[in-house]
Amino acid sequence: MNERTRERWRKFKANKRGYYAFVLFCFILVFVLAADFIANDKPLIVRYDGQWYFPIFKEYPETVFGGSFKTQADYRDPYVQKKINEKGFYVMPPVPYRYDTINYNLPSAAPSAPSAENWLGTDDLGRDVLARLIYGLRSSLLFGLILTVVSSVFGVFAGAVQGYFGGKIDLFAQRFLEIWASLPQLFVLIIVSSIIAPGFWTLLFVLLLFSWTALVPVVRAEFLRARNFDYVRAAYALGVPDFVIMFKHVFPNAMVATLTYLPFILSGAVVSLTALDFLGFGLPPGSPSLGDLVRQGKENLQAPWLAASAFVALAFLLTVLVFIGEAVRDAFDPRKNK
Amino acid sequence: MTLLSVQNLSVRFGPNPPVVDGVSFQIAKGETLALVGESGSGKSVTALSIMQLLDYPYASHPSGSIKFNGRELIGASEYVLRDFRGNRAAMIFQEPMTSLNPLHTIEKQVAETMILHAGMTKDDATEQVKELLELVGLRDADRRLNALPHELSGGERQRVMIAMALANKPDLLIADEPTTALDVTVQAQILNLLSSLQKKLGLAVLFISHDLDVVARVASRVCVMKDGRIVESGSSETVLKNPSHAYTKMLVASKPSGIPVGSAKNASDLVRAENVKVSFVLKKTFFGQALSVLNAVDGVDLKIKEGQAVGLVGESGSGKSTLGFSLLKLQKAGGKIIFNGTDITGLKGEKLRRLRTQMQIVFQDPYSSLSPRLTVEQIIAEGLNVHRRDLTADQKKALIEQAVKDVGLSTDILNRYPNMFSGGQRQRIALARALVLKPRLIVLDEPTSALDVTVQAQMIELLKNLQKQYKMAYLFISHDMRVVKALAEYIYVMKDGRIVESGKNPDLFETPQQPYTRQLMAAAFDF
Repeated sequence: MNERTRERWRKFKANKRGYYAFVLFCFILVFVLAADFIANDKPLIVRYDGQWYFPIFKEYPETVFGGSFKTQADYRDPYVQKKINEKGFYVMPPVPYRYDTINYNLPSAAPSAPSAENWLGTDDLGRDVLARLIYGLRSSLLFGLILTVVSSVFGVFAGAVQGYFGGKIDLFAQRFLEIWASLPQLFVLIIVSSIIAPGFWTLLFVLLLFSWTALVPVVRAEFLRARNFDYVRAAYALGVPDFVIMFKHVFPNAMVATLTYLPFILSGAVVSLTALDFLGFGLPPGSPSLGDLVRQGKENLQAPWLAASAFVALAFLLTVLVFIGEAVRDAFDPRKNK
Repeated sequence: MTLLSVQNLSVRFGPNPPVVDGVSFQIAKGETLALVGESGSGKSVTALSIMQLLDYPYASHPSGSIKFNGRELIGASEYVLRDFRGNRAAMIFQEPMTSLNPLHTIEKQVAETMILHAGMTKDDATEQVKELLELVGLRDADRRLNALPHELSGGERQRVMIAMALANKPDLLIADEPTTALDVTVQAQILNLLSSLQKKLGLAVLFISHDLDVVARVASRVCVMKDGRIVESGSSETVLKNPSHAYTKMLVASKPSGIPVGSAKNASDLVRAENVKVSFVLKKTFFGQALSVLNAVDGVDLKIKEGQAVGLVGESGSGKSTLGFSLLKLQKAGGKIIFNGTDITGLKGEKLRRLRTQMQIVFQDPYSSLSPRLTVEQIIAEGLNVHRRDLTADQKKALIEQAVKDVGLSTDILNRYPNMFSGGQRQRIALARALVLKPRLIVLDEPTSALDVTVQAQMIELLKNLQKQYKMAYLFISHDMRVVKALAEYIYVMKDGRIVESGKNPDLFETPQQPYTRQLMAAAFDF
């Protein structure tokens, strides 16, 4: 870490709100990445007949635990539970439901209200809301992060080429971007996703169609400015190839603007995915997602825990991202020295 | 009678050691006192503390007093200070491009202080503005009251700045390097204007400059500053003719002098440029037809022999840098350029890149020409990494170390970043970057004009030694006749995109043919 980076890190930390938001975000990220160990309908470990079993990693047929079927053991089945307890013990995760586990043992008709068993209640199919929230956050965050990285790569590259070479390339690319940006995004997304079967990767592609343009103007402007710097011209005079100049000498100047934008692009990506899921054009039916939870909340106004959980989770995540974004912006702002 | 008296003044920023330390001087009514020193010596900070314009309370005065007409200014109330700044003292700055507001007409800007401080009506003020602008010699003053700053040239803007400063008839004028950003011929005009105004209005002037010749011309007394202290003071006659302090002696001695390195008698032509033309389209129709065109370089013929230092002189905007860039194919140009026997006019891509090892450039501003994110070693290695892939890492390292030694730096700087170096050292690093490829031609685009005088003298010596050692040819671009005289064997004088005169070194200076050349010479040597 050189002096400049250390100074920026210090300024980032000086913005308490942003710094704690960042710590919280990292915590959430680690938490939801470990979703399989926190919310699952399989035990973390099983001790049976003097042997250790790890059902999350490996499938065991019921016969292993003294059952009669050769299919995979259903650990929520009281019969299997009893069999294991006879010759050992098992430890369930804190939330003993997966996103698709249906609780058939509900006190009232689904959606049922929060209880000691289902902390945030269940949705209209009897699935645990907390488990779905955790998995939903995971897919939202992973989706957002991948989308952010990929669209930044495309955006930076396009902006770099436009800004560095300028002239006709820039002229035509700018006109193309103007037309592209004026397309009605949501309608195009709906049309495209009704042709292509929606899945994680196809959705990523569809959303990428529009989100890559976010960084182009910023990077282009920085490249237009920096290509006339003397040290860039000196590199050119040395005969250094264009692409080396672009990424060794010019790109570091655009780095600040790019990094400043990233948290906002990430929150934008989370919102787009939620919107598509809400409209039913998002991830395949049954997959856990924030948008799906919001939709259920809308359809089951008598069960406010659905909408409330989704709202709190979403608002919390977006707020955290915006706080981080502001802190990053401050950290890179050379005028905020004192 | 003493108008301004500064006693034992110190200035420090934050917890750092003082940048101005125990400075004392007096200015009498109608007198011109010059503060001379190199950059970083604390001249401008001294001036700003007289106006109390520093960034208080980050800046502070541990000691000292500044008395104007017997009244203490340090710690005076904002009300007193505002009256002092607007009515009693005025300041003009170095950079006329940025010290005027680009959005207001010059009339409005000049009239502002009169309306605010003297309580004039708008109409009265307009009359006054007209008179003032005529006083400072702005051509067509009455027709140009509504001009915006960008419609004026640098010299004209500085005149407007002076008019603004004089608006309320101050007793003290602080001029902080008022001519440094201007062309040499314009510089002479502004200096004349300042001294005539001073006589006419009986102003006291605190004149800040790094240029001894300028100081000798305008000031009656001189204080020489170094590292925040005044090391010598006295009448400008004695200080500049018979300096007593070692530093002043060095300053006086570092005027560019000496004779250029001669090239071999039978040297062949390294560069032959014929009818080089560069034009920029200023305005075009919707379909891209040019409506008005600026011919930056307009049919120039030029020759550089193997191992010869060629000077290219002219004012800013004369097209000399553009010409230099065109010779290196850094700028699209018409005409024909022959480098070392090959026609490089239409050369492109890989072939051109390979040729670049033989021609290099050093830019004017050493602060912007080195990438702030690379170490010195990485900066110098860049050319080798592209062109000398055949070398091993050790061989590269040896070449880099040689280049660093050649420019007079030690090899333990290789792992540092450019921001740790002074302007002169950076310029040496930029030179090492060009040198490491062993080029046959280096275009030097005003390489010394951003440097202090003492550093400038060292740089010129270094350039001459390297030229002797490596038999390189230089194209030395400069506005300063003195520097060119010390370095170049053959000289081209450029004006408005054309070569107006050319000749061998002593001949051109002894018998200049063109009035423009004489004007440049007068500005440079006749102070």
